[in-house]
Amino acid sequence: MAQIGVGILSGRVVDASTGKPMADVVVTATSPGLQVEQIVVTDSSGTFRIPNLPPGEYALNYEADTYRPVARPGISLTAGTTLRVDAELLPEMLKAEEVTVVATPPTVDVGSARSGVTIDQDFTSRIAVAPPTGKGGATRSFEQLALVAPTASVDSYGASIAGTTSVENVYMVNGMSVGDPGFGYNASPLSIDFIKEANIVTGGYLPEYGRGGGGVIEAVTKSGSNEFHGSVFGNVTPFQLTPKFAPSQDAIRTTGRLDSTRDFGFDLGGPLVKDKLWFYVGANLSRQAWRLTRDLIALQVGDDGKYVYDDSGLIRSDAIPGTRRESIADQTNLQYIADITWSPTPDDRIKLTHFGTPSTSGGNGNYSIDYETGVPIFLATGITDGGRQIGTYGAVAWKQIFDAYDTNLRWTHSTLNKRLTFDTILAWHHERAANLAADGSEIGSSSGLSGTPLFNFARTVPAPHAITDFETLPDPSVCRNPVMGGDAICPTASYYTGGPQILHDRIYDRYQLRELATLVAEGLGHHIFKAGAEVEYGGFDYTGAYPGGPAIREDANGLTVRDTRRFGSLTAPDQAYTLSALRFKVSTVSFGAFLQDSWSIMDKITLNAGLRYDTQSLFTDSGDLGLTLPNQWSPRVGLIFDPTQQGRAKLFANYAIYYQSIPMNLMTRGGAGEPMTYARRPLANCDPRNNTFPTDCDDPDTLRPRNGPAGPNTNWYLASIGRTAIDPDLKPQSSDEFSAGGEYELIPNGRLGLTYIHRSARTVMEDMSRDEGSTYFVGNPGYGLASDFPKATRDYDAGILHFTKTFANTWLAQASYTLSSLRGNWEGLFRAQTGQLDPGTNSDFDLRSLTVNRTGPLNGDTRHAIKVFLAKDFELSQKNHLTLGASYRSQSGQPTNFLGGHVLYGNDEVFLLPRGSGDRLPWQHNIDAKLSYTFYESPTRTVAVTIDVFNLFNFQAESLRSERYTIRPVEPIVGREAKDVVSNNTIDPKLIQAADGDPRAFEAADRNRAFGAPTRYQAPLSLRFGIKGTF
Amino acid sequence: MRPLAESRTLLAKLAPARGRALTFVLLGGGLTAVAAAVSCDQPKPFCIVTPAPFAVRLKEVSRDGNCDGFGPAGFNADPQVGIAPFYERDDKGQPDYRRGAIAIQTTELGTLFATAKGMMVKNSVSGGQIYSMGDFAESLPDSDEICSVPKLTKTQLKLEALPEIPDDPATADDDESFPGQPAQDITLEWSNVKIVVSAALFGTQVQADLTDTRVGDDGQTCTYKYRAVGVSPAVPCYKADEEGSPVMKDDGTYEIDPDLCDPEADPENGRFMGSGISPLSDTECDAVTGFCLLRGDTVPAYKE
Repeated sequence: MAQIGVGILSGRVVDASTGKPMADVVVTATSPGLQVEQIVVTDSSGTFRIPNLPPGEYALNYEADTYRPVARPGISLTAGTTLRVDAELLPEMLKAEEVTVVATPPTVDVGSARSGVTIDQDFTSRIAVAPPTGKGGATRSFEQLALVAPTASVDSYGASIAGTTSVENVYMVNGMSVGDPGFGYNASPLSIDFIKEANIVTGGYLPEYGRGGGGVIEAVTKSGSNEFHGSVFGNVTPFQLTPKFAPSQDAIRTTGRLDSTRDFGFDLGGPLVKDKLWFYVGANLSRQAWRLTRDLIALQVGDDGKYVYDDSGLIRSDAIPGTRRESIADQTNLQYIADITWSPTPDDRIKLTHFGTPSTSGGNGNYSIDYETGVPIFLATGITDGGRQIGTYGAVAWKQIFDAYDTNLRWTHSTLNKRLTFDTILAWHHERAANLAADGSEIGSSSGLSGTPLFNFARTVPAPHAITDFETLPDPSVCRNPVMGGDAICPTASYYTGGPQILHDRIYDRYQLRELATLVAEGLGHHIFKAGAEVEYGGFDYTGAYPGGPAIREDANGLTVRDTRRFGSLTAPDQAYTLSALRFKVSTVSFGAFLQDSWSIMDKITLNAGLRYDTQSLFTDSGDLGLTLPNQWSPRVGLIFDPTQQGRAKLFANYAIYYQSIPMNLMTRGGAGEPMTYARRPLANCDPRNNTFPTDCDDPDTLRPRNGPAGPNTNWYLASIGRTAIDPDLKPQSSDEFSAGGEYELIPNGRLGLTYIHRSARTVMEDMSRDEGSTYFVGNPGYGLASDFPKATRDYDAGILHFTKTFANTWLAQASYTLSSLRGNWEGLFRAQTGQLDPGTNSDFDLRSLTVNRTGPLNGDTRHAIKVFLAKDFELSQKNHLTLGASYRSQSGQPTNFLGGHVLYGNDEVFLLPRGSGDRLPWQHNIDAKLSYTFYESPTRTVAVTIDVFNLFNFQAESLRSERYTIRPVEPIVGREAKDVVSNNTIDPKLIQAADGDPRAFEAADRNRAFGAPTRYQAPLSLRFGIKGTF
Repeated sequence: MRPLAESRTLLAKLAPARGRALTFVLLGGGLTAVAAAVSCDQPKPFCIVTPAPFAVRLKEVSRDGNCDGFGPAGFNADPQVGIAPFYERDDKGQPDYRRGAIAIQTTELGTLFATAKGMMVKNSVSGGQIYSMGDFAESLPDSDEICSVPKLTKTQLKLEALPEIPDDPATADDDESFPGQPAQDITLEWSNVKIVVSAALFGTQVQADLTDTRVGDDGQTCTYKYRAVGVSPAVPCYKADEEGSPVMKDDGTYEIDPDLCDPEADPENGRFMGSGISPLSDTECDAVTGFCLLRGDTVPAYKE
């Protein structure tokens, strides 16, 4: 049965002369990764099981009195798998030599019905993995290995598994969660250099893996052994080819390009007391820098003074000479790990691991690389709005800090000839995620950028601002249209000055305690019973601030300004106060328990059955209950049959219900409240171009009334007061999954498999309003208070053909083809369309009018995905080896949409036609390669030089395109299909009904000319050079 | 046969047992804490009232005094009542949702006061205040989902008469005329305010008792007692002419369009948003006020 971080060796020993099972055979497992050999004896049926084995290369020795011992070396055991390694013992009188079985040990996991891949150092040292950009790119984080799994694909916050969003995954290191407690993404991006093995479980997992709606991405860190081993390594990605960017439609354009990623580190492990006490330490320092180029742009106009468009509908433009500004976005990461393993007795193993991954980014004139996405903040925006440096440095830059520290203690104790094992795990995750002002000024302070309000110039009347209103050009006349009434050449629809956007300082602590008992027992076959209980406490200490109090925007009329955000409230009518920072602490307590049995029925069929119970409660700042999610019963049942009865094939089927652990962000926004209050005043009394700014903005006598005569507040508008209401019938979020398939060992170490997976959302938590946005509550779409909302659906079906050849005989291979479909109206915990990451409170279901036409192929619906990884070693001479690795990953294009404005929710919230009606994006192909040369001074002392090439052929297919069909508020077109109403990428305008109350009918000119134009492309070719010395 | 690992020290034998006990104590403690913390019922929201205006129906309970020329007409001319929640500040200076209050202000008083203020005339009684304020009796709604504010401050608007102002002939485009406003002495006493607070109706239905005492020019006094019932948001449902002005019937009531109270949008007929009133609220279009008002005179008023 699958087990977190460890594997199982099992088998049956028979007398070769009689074929009868042999009891009391001593089976000894040894491995370089195993500090103390493990010994068990066979039972009366001749079978044995050795649980709790760390992954690695094993040898089994079988010994019995009056029989010749048998050795079976070369067994590759990965975490979470059960391998069956049988033996036949010859009586001594028949033969007088030790027998070494030369047949290759089996590699099919006959103990579980889970799907996924295991990636060890054989793989990561030969295949170009962990590309230098994206989430975890700078640190070569283990989470990037998830993309090797057949049903995994990249999304904004990590790897999406089987159609879910990456933040639904369970991220684990050494069996304990390292997911961000607030939002769910991986918070401990530990380098693959410190990882012994990563397990990507994409489905069919058992209760012990905890709660998650996606996959499980689990890393096992290295440990010391009885021999000293270590390494020193360094990697440099010196450049990237020039990426493609969509042309700017505004006077400012920022493009970015990876300048360099470099890291240097070491690790060392060995014995402190031989056979008793071992250590492992490592550290790695990395830095990533991007070069950002900002140009001011003049849009092209013709002789008539009107814009000139290119074929894709975009206005042609030119950079204005002499306006270029270069800047850097950077991130510095330190990683370290320290591990002590103590085995006071052969039956006890205590492992204490501590690792930290602090990082800092931006500030001091530099921009930051977002820790949530791994991309510079300008380049990490949603589908429809290109990120640009549209303002002054202090207003558009942040200093970002992301520190995570994990400590875990695991004590494994075995008794009863290893038939009964207890695991006790204690873990602590501490994390700080902060977006601070670029000058480093303290959040909530009244000085520096933290004390200066953000001001957004955004007028539209009489015309948008021109860049010349804000910045000095060498020749400002280039922005002047010679034709009176012609189009604006340097329009700047939005320009920011002052302090930055919202500042956050989020501090999390999570404590986990888990007790696990594993019992190997007999009864109509063999059982591995497992019972576990766990308690988890999560605390979230939040500080949020709008610099200087309010964020202010110029009204469209250009005469007045209003607060767009201001933390604060009122104590009586018009008695307003502003909070320079909002502070609260929320928490969550979860309890889970499970029981599972892996029953090998008569050693022919394995039945895995488990039941998990969970309950989660979230508490608000005052310690009150904010939300409770009790009674989460998740059954799991799987059946595995080995037709070969030798561990060389399996057929399996599995059913599971999974519940989602709800990140605490839900409690911060809804549970603690984000009290806001807004005012409005003349621009003349609050203009950042005046030297009285921002003091004059606080003058109460300049306020303009915001409310009617009923008041009771005249000048101040209240919002987000109180806590979000919870549907009394709220059900926890869950999904169910069915999978079935088979695997067969085609060649030694190589197995071919076919798997079918169906996964669908059962109940989903979202916030909704039944009164057009007047009030909101958290509920389940389609149930309870929201029974008149459509049910949230997300159905994933996939067939996967895969072949895996583990590294042996100088080569390895992994290949898969996945045919899948992902349909529904709910994408998961974040929205691909807008990048909104508010787990449980995204806007999908806010209003019923938003739910029309939302069902269809979801953003992650890539029909075809092909992944091939191949590597081969060449022995040039005894001391000189060459390894060539290549990978090919390709997927068919994602669906696109026709999006319009919503009368209340604004741009891109209305699906004009059913979801997925747009043309699909083109296929994306990626070919990566790795070449490494290794010099063996001795078998254990090596120096390896590697070159990784990512996107070898520099494919630049578009990966995103504008789905904004119109900015006019419109009604969805109901009951029509794209093929009937769309021609030339244009919807028949007569079918579109404007919903802005303007009597002017929707006309062709309301269509966004740039609709369908590419907005993002694949990352270009980059090279990484590495050197690693090991001993 | 090779010996199995038997040679363990006593300490090693004991240590796991002791540690195990500790673990179970810890887990047991954790479980107890969880059991105490876990509730199967979702928490109730704190007492609140939605800050958007309410449309209020007044139902006469009694009248006392010389009431010729008095009545609800001034109120009914615009039945919008502003009700807003306010909270004391906690030790961090942030709203303490356990210590809440509401303020109530009628459009009638708001308009009279604003007009006078524009002419530099002050409310001679309460300075700037024309609202009533009172504290929530409890921080959470009761078992009937009701938050009560039993007692509120009395408000009085006392204004001298405002003179008539003729139009300025020099500015042909602007109309500066003002018909004048008689002296006002209005005292409003709100009490027994009940607000429905649940996930279904989040502070959007209210009932209250109102005592409205007015003193006329000649010193005559009249006191009306009303039951007030309100729903938020305040949605007009009168038919409008091309300029947006209400169409009146001969009897002084409004031509109404009940569809405007419908929570469901009707895009085919140009109604792109629903009324914004919860589909659970039992409302009807009222021809007297031209607003969507709750049926009945108690809350919660659920649609059948």
